[in-house]
Amino acid sequence: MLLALVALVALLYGSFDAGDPETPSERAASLAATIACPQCSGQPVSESSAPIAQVIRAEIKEQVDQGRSDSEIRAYYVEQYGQWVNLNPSSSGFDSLVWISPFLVVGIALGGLTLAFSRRKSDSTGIELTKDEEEQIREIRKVHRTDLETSPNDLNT
Amino acid sequence: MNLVIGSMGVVLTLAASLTGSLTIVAGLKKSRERLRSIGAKYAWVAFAGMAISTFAMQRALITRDFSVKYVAEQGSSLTPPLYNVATMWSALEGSILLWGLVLAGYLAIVAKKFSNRLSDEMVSWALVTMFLVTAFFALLMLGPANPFQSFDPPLGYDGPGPNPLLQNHILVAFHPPILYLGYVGFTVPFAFAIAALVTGRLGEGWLLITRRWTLFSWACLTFGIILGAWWAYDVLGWGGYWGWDPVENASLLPWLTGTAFLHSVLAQERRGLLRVWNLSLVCSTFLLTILGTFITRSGIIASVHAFSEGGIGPWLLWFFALVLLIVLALIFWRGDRLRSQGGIDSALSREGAFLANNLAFGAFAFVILLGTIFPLIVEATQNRQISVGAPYFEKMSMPIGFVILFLMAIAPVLPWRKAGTELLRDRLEWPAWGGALSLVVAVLVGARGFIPLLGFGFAGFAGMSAIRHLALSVRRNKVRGFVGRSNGGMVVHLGVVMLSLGLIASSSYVSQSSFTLEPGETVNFGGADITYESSEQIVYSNRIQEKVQIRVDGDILQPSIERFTASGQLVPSPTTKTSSSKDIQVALLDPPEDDDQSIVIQITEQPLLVWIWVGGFVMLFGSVLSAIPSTKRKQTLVMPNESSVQAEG
Amino acid sequence: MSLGKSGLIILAVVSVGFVVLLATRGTQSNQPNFDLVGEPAPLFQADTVTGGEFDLEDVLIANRALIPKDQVWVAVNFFASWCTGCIIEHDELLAFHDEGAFSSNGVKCNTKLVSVAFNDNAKDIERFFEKYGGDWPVLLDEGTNRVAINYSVMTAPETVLIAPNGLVTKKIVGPITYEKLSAGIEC
Repeated sequence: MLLALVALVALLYGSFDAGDPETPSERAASLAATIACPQCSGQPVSESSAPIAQVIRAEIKEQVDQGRSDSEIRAYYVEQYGQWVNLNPSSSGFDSLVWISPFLVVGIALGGLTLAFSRRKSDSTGIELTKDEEEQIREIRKVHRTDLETSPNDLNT
Repeated sequence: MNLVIGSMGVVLTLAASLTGSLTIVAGLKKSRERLRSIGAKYAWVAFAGMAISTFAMQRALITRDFSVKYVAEQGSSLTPPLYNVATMWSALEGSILLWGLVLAGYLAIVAKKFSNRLSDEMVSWALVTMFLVTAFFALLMLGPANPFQSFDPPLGYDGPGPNPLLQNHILVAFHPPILYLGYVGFTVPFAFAIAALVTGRLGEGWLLITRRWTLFSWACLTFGIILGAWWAYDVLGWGGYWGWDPVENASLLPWLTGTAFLHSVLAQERRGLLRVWNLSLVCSTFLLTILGTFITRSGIIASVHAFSEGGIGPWLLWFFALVLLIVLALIFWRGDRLRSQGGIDSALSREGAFLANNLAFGAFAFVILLGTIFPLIVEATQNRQISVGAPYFEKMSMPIGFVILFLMAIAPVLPWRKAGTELLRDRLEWPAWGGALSLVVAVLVGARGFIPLLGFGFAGFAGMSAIRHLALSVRRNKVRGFVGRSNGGMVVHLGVVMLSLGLIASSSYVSQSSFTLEPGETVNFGGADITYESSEQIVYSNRIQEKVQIRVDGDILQPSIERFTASGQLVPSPTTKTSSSKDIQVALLDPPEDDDQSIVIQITEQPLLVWIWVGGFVMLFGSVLSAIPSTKRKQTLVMPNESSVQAEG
Repeated sequence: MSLGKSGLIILAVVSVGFVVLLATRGTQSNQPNFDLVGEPAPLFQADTVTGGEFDLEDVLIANRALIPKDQVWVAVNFFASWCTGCIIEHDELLAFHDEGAFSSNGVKCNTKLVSVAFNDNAKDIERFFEKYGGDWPVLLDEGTNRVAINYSVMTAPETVLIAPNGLVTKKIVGPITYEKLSAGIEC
């Protein structure tokens, strides 16, 4: 379909067209967003005006200019202050659980739902509303002027 | 005097709440309606108590009555008048008082609105629940969070005033109260959910009764969070509006489950499905507000927003545990009544979309909760400190955000029960073009990068789906096509799309740099000319302001730094040049001094940022539209499994 | 038991664990890093605000040629003119600088005090020392911020004591007293 083609072309072009390469100051800025200010309540050095944050920001820029790699710079600050200044949790060891468990949980939920879905198909229907309960609901709706209007789509069904 | 009045008010509220709940329970057990009516009247007494206490606190703040410890610690003769009112919620004890006031207010209004429905057991139990929650908060104010402790001020004593960051922006007067209207408001549907569980009446009744309350609370919570982000943006100086700070996360959690709840109830109303989901979602929302309050006030997770703790942590945690236990026990007890009539026939249906929606929001809430408390888990099990910050939350929330945008696009076009592919292809044509168009436009104006472009595509997809629905609705009903639950909801979705565009653009394409400038000097940043023109110093009652005039592409901006006299704290005040395409924010980092007139400024440029606030307002507007009934009511009503529908009157 | 009920039990167990976790946490705060203590002190050299120079390595090399009584203990004080704690501790530093330190058997040991400026500027530093006194070297150049990070400094004031053999013997966070600084100095 023409539509899919247009969209795909635009997406691919936009993704692979180099655009402007990352300048050193941009790199320093994105690094600064991942390193916590040691004297603050968990904020990155890019978002704090504390003296140590200013110092570390300036030093990160220095280190980027000196040609150090991102992981080297991060490792340096972790070495000096502790693992907690790295706002990015590690992807190895126990800490990787924080990355993995959401996917695990969603997977289990989806699995459980599929199970319940297929089971429900073979079960008989559940509890039905009694006549009294249906009457009560009618009353409540009447009193409350709820507007269960139809959406335009439903008229097409 | 204020101390006495204030304390009396709290005691009154506690007594009235306990008496009211006991009276109603007695009325329920003995089937005496009269008792229940009497019990309900106590709601007014409870509210009166909170009103009296609030009056006493405000009077103490405005008259700078330093014999009240809270005023001595938070107030100051230098604080400007309006900020005195807001000082009430600028620290722990006062914030609990605000919570109590809002809660008692909701309690009284619920009691009034339902005063002639007390014969209904469910209503009575709901009131009992609300009374008990109110009693708890009153108890907090007599115990760990007492705003009316006495203090013996030495001669000539003047307080330090609230934190300077809470004194220099008008939003301090709006963000907390509106946020609390949202948080506390969810107590109402929660109370009815508990009542439904207790009475065993787990059909749509409790949902229908509380629909408008839920919508109102959700709208307030949404708007409150957006105001908080706006405030941060206006004040911080590096163009940030959301830091994934633990307290911010804690406020987002109930919003996520609340939004899921708001959507999921539609499936139960229409087809009686997702009952357990709905109960769980509304109970989770209430529990998360308590958890959020706990995180903010206990100090177990470091946060810039955290109030100083004073032993309130354990109380809140016990309350949380108790409510959680009760909810789980009730659901366990009533388990057999919770099975829905019928089930989801096909995944590709409106019900299926709502289920997927619940999963998506649930996953989102799980991710944020996990990320926030994971450092605690690591510390408890391995005795070392780690951090989980913005990089984690941003990376994880992005795919979920895209899934939600996708669902927003297809759910409105999905019919109930089952969708045929022909139907879908037909209805999704416009939205698909919308997505493709926004992709192409984005690439044309220079946006690059797979992730942001994908985001733009999904946003366009969702936006066009909402526009399509509204267009069809307006064609049928003219102006009335904008009001009503589903149409208002589409307007809210449009707001979400605008917000998403702003979020994606501003976070993917932000550029920032700092410059040292001499008077008269010009630099070029991001295509704009920035000139340092002049500076001035203004002295206020409570602070001294160093202001500079910077010309940005023709417009004058005046960022400043303020030094607050009482505390010596320096607070920067950035200014922003806003346009529909981008925001340029200038912050003054280093003011001019007598012998050195040079300054250091920081400039942050973010595209499409204003659309975050616009989107927020559109969401609010859409909520209002949602509350307006769209059709005049007639006799017969739509029953869950009927296919015939009622035309408008 | 049905799927739902067993799910509920699991949820209850997780919830209990969750509440217990929260209940057993103390307030969170960032701990300073004392890994440095007992390790060789990071070497540094810098210019002073008065135009001189200081090189830690020179002192340590010289120490190797001296007998213990003459070896120099180096106290490195990270300070800033804007920090109130620095004002509080200044008298103690003055005492340390003027009187030196005594070992447990009463012998006076050689000590050298240097201050390293932390996020500060020359003018404010000069004003500070004019106002509060003291004439020991104050180091400030483009490298001194890195020195602070090398010593895991989080904010001013922090002080580190370096033994003549180059090992860090103590690191004190916050305003210091004469006793705290000079305790343990032996020669």
